[in-house]
Formats: sequence, structure tokens, C-alpha cells
Amino acid sequence: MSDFGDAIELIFQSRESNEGVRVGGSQFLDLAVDHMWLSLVATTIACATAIPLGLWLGHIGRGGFLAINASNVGRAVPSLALIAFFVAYLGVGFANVTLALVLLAVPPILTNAYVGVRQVDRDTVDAARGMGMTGAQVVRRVEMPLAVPLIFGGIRTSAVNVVATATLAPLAGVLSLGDPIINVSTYGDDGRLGAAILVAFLAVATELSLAAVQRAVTPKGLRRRRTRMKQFRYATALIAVLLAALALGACGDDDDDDGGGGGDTAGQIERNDANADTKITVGSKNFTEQKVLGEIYAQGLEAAGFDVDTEFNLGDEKVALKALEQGEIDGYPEYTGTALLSFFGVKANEIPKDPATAYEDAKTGFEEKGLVAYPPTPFTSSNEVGLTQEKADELEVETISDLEGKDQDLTLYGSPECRQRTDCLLGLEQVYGLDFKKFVPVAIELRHEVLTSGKADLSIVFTTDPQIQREGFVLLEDDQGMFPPYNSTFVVRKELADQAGDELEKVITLVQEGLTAEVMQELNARVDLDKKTPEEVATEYLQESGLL
Amino acid sequence: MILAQVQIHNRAGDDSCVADNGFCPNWIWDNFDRYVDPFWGHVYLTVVAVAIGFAISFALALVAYRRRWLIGPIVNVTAILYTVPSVAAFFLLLPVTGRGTTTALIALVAYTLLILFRNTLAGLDNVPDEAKDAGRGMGLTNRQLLWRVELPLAVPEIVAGLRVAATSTVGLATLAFFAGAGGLGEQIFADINFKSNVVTAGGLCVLLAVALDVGFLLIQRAVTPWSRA
Repeated sequence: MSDFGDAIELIFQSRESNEGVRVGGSQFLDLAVDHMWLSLVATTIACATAIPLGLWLGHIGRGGFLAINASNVGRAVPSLALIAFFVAYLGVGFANVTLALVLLAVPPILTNAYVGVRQVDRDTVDAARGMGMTGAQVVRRVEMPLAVPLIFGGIRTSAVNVVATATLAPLAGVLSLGDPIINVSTYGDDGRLGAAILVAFLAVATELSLAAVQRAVTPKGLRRRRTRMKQFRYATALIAVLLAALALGACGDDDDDDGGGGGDTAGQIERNDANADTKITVGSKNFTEQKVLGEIYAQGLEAAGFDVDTEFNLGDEKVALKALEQGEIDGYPEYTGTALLSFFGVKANEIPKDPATAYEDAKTGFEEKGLVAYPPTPFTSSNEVGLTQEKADELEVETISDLEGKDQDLTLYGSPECRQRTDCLLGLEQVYGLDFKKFVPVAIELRHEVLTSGKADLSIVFTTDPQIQREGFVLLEDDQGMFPPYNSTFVVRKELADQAGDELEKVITLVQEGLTAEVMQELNARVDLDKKTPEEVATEYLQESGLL
Repeated sequence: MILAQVQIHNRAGDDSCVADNGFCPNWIWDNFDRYVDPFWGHVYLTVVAVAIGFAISFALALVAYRRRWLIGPIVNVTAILYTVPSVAAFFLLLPVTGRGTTTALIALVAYTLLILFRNTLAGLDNVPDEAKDAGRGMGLTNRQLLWRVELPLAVPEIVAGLRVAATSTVGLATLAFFAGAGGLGEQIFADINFKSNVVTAGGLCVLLAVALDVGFLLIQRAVTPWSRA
């Protein structure tokens, strides 16, 4: 119950997220407006093209095959695949997402408009002709009014589908209510649930209001009685289902279990058969670097003889932590900075700048949760100020401090929440005293593209982004130590740490020893640019490092 | 202890097909195996969801066929389930049923109900009175009439419902990875900018949808030999 309660509260009342950004309240309203605007534009364009085409095809009685099969074909193409196709081939942006949604919305409207006209009694049409109506008049005064119920049926299907699919728009860099669902780290669990509730509400509201409009525009002669009664029952059923869902939310669950054993090895990874009694499920969050790290630990532990299972793609850090606490996984890699921000309520500007202190703080926090955080990786993956080599030469800058005096002519691009984050724009302004000509919020996927296309002078990128090397970007040195450390630490449940003993720590220390920023960037590049699987890349890493 | 060095490749200005996120047939050929497990995961989600959904809707339709007053409430409730977007449904279920295949299946099953219920009922309702009268005239009981006359004659519409439900479920199952249930959607999502990946994973979804559609059509032909007479 509390889950749903908190989420609903967040919809109406904004609060400060763990990353120091205000979320919820009016922000949800803004996202809902964006969401509905996108849906409205797409549905309107779809109607404007599909209705005339359907009416015309129906009127001349041709193209039935096309019109009827349009919706069959449309249904076979998954909306996610459609959006992905547009992103891969046309790139991100409002126009592309709109076009994808239009394509999604056209088939049902087209089919219904066609069928709507065809099912009009031919005698009625003949009568209209007999009264001396022209073709256009027949369409406008007879066929269209009689087809209205079916046409609206198509519009309803499409509009609800578009509202549902607009949730995926953030994948293509367009803000909608899907943002809290897809970018959970900023909004948290409550934000995601809140957005899910809002999306569900908007879809049902769209359906109900279009049903009302449909009734209003249906010619009187075609209206059925009982509709009002049906609407009433519909609404009652809706309330009943929502109540049932909320009541079900009161339940929760928890469970733990484990095996037993231990042993020891020395040097490179050596198999110890005693480890076989210890079962370890290694988890990871759902992006490249995490999957590679997860694979490296999993394969290292397996080589040491542990009984290893994997559960990658856990979503964001909150999902991963919950999975760990509930025993769904036994360990996963987490960044010190993320843990402090997201789990232990440390404000972004209060995170220790020293990696060792940040690790100690995170370790203490995890201890209180019954978790053990092993020593961190050499690399840190934090925000960086990136720019092209030419720009760096032109400005003659190497450190962030060097930007002073040049800032008033420079445009900085960053993620939307960058503006409010102390490890982003806010920090650059406060710590370095910079005042840029312009800050442009941009989808996180575009952080490199804005530099290559020349739109941005500076862009906020991540240390281990593989594109940095490929595009020859320069990262400005954070000479004032403003960006908090994001070293990765392998976190396990205490029972496992006790059971596996030194053996586990030894393997973990060994496999991550070579993970410098440069190496991590290379491994990420092998996945993101060379398109190898994280599994292959982890094996390569272990072999090239002489560990396997 | 000193580790051997990982080979750092210089990728500056690399404009090969793969590094450019292009459509690379060779890459697809070499890496097709990574789509096999997600594909079968997708098949599993779709088939199980449609099977469970059909069992529920079929039972509901049989009950509502005799007790007409149930039709309204059943249609209303399933229509709402059908309207709630699947992504939202997955996350609404998470606090209740946790991450995993179960959550995904509950949402996917919920989507099939309206289509399958409506079509099954419509199929039964559209059985010609003459056929029923003939059956009664032959001395069939109500139960015999249902199983030997009404249901066989309703098969085309029931199968039409199954075809729509199956193709829609293939599409919705691409979002099941949000609930931690894997499937081809996870592959699409893993690298949405890589044309080879999107085309392969998306293409497999379309193929699966078409295969199920054709499969059901063939089943319909096989079980209604009289319709070809």
C-alpha cells in the first residue's frame, strides 16, 4: 500500500530526489502535457491522412486489400521495434517520434474508415444519388455520417495505442511520462510508479472521453440506448479495479537462502573445489559498463570454482539493491558516488571528493544494511566536461579553470537535470564561477553527437564513454576536484561474505585490479562500438590480463 | 602483482559498418546466435500468455453465453485491462508481484482477455438458428448442442480472435523486459542505435507474429474441413 501511497503523493507534491533534483508535482504535470501533446499531434496527423484516404477508397470501392490488411500488418510490428527502427535509421527527435507514432496510428483508422463506408447500405447510397447528390455530397452527407461510429472506433483504438506508446518516446530523446519510467535513477521508484499510474490514467481517460465524443457525433438515428448506463458501469468498474489494485498493493514478500563452504587460493585465479559449495548469483544494472563488470566478476568467480549464476539487466540501482536485499542476487557492482547519493541520502555537494573516503562512507552505509562492499576499482566513471580537439586547441584549454574568461561565448550541453546538479552545471557555476552563454538540455544519448555536429562547444560526458577515444574528444581536467568519485565496488550480502571468506575478496580484488579508466573505456568500446557481447568482452579482458 | 596489459585499440575515425551502427549482414550472420535464446523466451511469453488468456476467456464466454447479464460486466472490466498501457501495467504490478516472468505474463494475459472473450462470444452468437434447430431436432441436449454444433461453427471467429491476440501479444512482449522477463525487446533495447541489431531483433518479432498468424489460420482450416466443401 505504501508503495502506491508514496507514488500518488509524489504526483501531487514535489520533493527533492536523492540526486538533489526536485521531482514530482508540477514536473509530472509538465511531462503529462508533453505526453498528451505528442499523442495529440500524432493522432491528428494520422486522422488527417487516414480518414480521407479510407473514405475515398471506400467510396470508389477499391483498395480494399490494402485498407483491410493495413491494420493486420500494423499489428505485427511491435511499437518498440518501430521506435527503435526510427531511432536507428532517422535518429532521435520530436519529428521522428511523431512520425513513428503516426505510422502506428494510421492502420486502425484507415481500416475502419474503409469498412465504415463499405458497410453503408448500397440502397441508401443509391437513394442519395437518386436525389441528385454529387459524389462529394454522397460522401459528406451520407457515407461519412453513417461511417462515423466505426471511424471513431478506429480513432479510439489508435489514440489509446499512441498514448501508450508515447511512453517510449524518451528512448528517442523526446520527453514524455515515460521519462520517469525509463530514467529511473533521477526519479526513483516512486516516480516510476507515479508515472505508470498517470500513463494508465491518461490512457483510460482518452478512451472514455473519445467514447463520449463518439456518442455525441453519431447521428441520432444510429445511437443505441443504454449507452449512458454502460458509461456509468464502465466508470464503476474502473473504480473497482483501481481499488482492488491498491488493496493488493498492501501485500509484500521477502525470502533468503544460501549454501555453505569455503577455501583458499593464491596468485592468479586458481580453482578451488571447496568453492563449489558456494552458490553466487552475480547481478548488474542494465547498461554496458555494468554488464561488463558483472561478467568479469562472474567469470572470475567461476574460474575460482564458485557455483555462479547471473542476473543482469536489473534496471537501476534501486532495483539492484532491492534484488540484493531480497536474496534474488548475492552481489553486484555499484558506484560509490551513486550509492552515497541514491542509497544513503548524501547530497551531491556533500560527497567526499577523495575516492578512498567516498568508498569508506559507502562501505559504512552498506554495513548498516547487512551488506559488504569490497574495495573499489581503480577507475572512476564520473561526469566530465568534453570538447573536440579543435575546440580545445582554439580555446587553448586543458583544465576547467582555463575556461574562465571564455565562458561567456560558450554553449554547454547536458542532460535536463544537469542544470540542478552540483556535479554538473550548478557546480561549474558555483565552484568554478563560470557563466556560460547558454546551457541547452539534451537527451543523454546525444551527448557526443552535439559535439561532432558542432552544436555544442562543450558537452557533459562520462569518463569511460568509448566514443571519447573514437571521436578524439578532449576531457578537461577537473582541477578543483568538483566531480564526485564514481569508483565501482562489488557489494555482496554479509552471509555470503562470511561463508566464502577471504577467497571471495581475493578473486574480486584480482579481477578488478587492471580496470583503469583507459581499460574500462576500451572494454565499453568493444561492446558499444565493436558490438561484442559483454560476456565475450569480459572473457577477453580476463585472458588478456593473464587471469584465465 | 602486475597484470598483463589489455590491448587498447585505436578507434579514432573508425568508419567500419559496425562502428558506424550500420546495417551489416556479415555481423548479423556471425552474431545470430545471440538472438536465439531471447527469441525462444519471446515465443514462451507469447504462447503461454495466449494459452492462459484463451482458457480464461473461453470459460468466461461459455458462462456468459447462457447468462447474458454477465456480458456487460465482463466486457467492461476486460476493456479497462485492455486500455491500460502495458509498460504502465508492468510497473503497477511490480510492487505486488515483483520482477520476473510472472509479472509479465499477468499483464500479457490481461491484454488478451477482451479480444478472445468478444470473439468467442460473437462466434457462438452468430451460429445460425437453423443449425441449432437441426441439432435440437436430432435430440441433442444443450451440452451436446454446444460442443457438437455451436462451438465447431464458432471456430472461425474464435480463431480470428486468437490471431489478433497472438500478434498483439508478440508486440507487447517486446516490452516485457521492463518487468525483467527478457524476450526480444531486451535485445532491441540493449542497442537501439545499432541498425543491424534493431533490424534483426525487430525482424524476428515480425516473423514470429506472422508465423503465429499463419499457424492459427492453418489450424482453423484443419479443424473446419466442412468450410472448404
